[in-house]
Amino acid sequence: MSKKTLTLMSKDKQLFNIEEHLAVQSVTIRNMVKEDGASSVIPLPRVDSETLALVIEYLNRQQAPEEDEDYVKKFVDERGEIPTLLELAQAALDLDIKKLMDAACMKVADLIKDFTLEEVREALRIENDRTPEEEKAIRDEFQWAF
Amino acid sequence: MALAYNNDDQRKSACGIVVEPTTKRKKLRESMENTIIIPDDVLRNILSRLSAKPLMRFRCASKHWNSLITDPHFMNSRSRRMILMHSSLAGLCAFDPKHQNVVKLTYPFEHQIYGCKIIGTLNGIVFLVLQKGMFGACTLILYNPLTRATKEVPGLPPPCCRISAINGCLYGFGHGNIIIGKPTCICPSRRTYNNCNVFSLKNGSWSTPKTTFVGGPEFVQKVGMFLDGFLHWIACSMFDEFYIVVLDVTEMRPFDKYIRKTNTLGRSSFAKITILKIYIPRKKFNQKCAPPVFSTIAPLLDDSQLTLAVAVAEMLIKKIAFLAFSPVSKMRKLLEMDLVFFRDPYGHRLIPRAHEPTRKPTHELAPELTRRPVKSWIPQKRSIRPLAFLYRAELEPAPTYLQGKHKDVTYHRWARHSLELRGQVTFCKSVRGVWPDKRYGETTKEGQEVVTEEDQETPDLREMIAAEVGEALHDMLSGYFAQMKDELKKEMRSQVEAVVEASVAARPGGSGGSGGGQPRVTTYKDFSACQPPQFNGQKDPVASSRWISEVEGVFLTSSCSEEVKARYASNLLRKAAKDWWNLINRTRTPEQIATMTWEQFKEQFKEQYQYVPQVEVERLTGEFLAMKQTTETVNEITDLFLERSLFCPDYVASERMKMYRYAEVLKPEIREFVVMAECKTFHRMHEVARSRELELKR
Repeated sequence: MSKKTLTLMSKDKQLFNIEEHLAVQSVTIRNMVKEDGASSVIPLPRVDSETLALVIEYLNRQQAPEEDEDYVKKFVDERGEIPTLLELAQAALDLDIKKLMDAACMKVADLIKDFTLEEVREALRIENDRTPEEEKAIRDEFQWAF
Repeated sequence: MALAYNNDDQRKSACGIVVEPTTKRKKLRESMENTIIIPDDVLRNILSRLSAKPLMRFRCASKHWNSLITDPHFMNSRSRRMILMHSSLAGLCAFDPKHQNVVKLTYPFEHQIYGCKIIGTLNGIVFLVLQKGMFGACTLILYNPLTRATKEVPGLPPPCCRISAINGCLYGFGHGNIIIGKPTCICPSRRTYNNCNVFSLKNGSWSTPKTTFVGGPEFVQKVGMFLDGFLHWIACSMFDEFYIVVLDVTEMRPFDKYIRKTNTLGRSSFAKITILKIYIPRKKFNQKCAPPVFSTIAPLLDDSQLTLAVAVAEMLIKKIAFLAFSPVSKMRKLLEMDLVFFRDPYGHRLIPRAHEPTRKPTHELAPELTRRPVKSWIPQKRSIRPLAFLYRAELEPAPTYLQGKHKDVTYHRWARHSLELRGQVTFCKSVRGVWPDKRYGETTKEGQEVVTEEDQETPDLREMIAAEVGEALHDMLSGYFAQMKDELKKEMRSQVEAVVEASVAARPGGSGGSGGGQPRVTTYKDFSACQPPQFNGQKDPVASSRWISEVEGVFLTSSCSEEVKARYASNLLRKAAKDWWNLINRTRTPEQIATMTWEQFKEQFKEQYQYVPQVEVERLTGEFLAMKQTTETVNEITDLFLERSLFCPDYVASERMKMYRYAEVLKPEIREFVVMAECKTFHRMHEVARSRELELKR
């Protein structure tokens, strides 16, 4: 495979270079390359530069296939904050990198699984749009879960 | 930034990037700088990795989350095949064949559940028959283990909601109908089921179609398996042959053609199921040996390890019939010899397999069996295919994102078509670990061929193979039983010898040898010669106290010495009782067990089996007072009356009170006669009632 490089652009207009054979791990980029040769810059309007740097770090990994699973796990573990992980998951979703997406989601799920309702709302910044009555109804029905 | 976003929209959608469609969310983003917008795909992915508890909790988080979680497609996508099982020791649990782990489920009720039977599953809903409390009546429950929602099926027909009906009735579920067979007693040991009650989930009502099973089969397996539109039960004929009774659920018509008496393997034209019939003379299973338990496999939870503890299980899978054998004995030697026979109808090979709970390859086990020349009756052109693989081909693949190991997964969606029969898959799957890897390759290669070649088979060949398979299996089994018996005997003998030695050594001054002055030591042989009854662990105070007194009688006859009584008696415990005994022995040292006296044993035993909570006594008293004879005969109602009166002695304190109550119970037409007769004793009263009943029948 040729050592062609691609340029990715984050939403704050920063440019990142990456070798094409590594970049095609992302299904989105692979499709783009197939379609129009990807001569120009590939814009990623929903990914900020920090996250894109992380993704590129991930794509640049030099791991044997059998160690890959562990690497992904470690990679995600090192960035254990929920906002970062969510950004990462979103970037992985846009770029269609399945392994990274799954690992990031798994980590988030692990983190929030013991959270109470309030903690989860705070951690994921969810706006509570339920009335207390509605909430109480669910609470009563699934008392064992709270 | 906003400009760039809009310009890119077209390009992105052309390239397959998912564009967040909600403009509302964009606005939200602008207004709240801190809010993180999580795309639904990411959120779904995260939620699919959570277990039931947080999932149900997070339903409250926001409306959007609630709609995501309660979406049926989301629920469906996370479904997985699990095998639901129930055992008295472990309770309700689900086995995950993929991760080979067991998830314990909660019962749908807070009450103490005395008995439970799994009738069937449909789209994640489980149908259970439950008996609440020791003396509770039976109820039929629809239960969703994920949300723990329950619904009671209204108005269970009278004989099926009675005490002990849980084991007495015949159950089945298929095509949206729940079938409950009402038992009719011929004699205490044999029951036939002639009329079935059918509850239709569609109509929500009960009906009673006329159904007669020809030949009066004795059903050894009370819960039927549903397959291809037919319900199957394993039954026993009057000649001690086991066969499968098939019921067409749509027409409620049993197929008596299935009741055949030849040892052949035939292909039925109506259900397209190959059945292997196996003779196991029941005499071989005498009381001293492991009793035959024909049921789906009931694994026990033992230090989170799955051990199979079933005597004999004959099962029926889609076009595959196999027999699994594993003695209940706790003796290690025998446990290691657990065998699984697989008959692969495509490969025409009977594969004896050694199965060990630790799932390590154990080829050296049971060498006699593996050494048998099985090849001679196998068509050479077919290769061996492990059953597990065949089965896997029939299962739908699990969703890919469930590849991770979730120890706490509590999602179940048993049986999309309620086809896979609980337990069977357990066996296939757990054996898969034993299989050498090399054979997997073969199977994958030929997986296609399996399906296509199946129909080209000539019936003659099938018939021939059938006969051979049956014969070989029969030979093998009898050999195995003999071996097992020998093993047991040897074990017993060595144990008894050890006991005798120990007791001789323990006796002060007993070194004088076996002189004539020495009092004779009762061996276990002497003890068992008196045929002491076994105890299966039924939580019935009457049965347990009877057992105690019978065993004491045996002690007296065999002039048993005090120190061996408890040990001998504990040998008589079977099934649930044995499990209980092993459980309490875990906390004891071997010396404590060895020196346990009969009184201590009795105390423990009574605590476990004879304690009746006050609430139950009160309930039973109420039942006793409300008792009325309806369809029962006088003899039946009298037995019931006496049994129940044991729990409320206050009401039958004197003979006169007892007679008064008894008269209340009887039917009006019998009662007036009985009261007129002015009987002096209860016994006389019963006689009068009985003669009046016979008179009425005339």
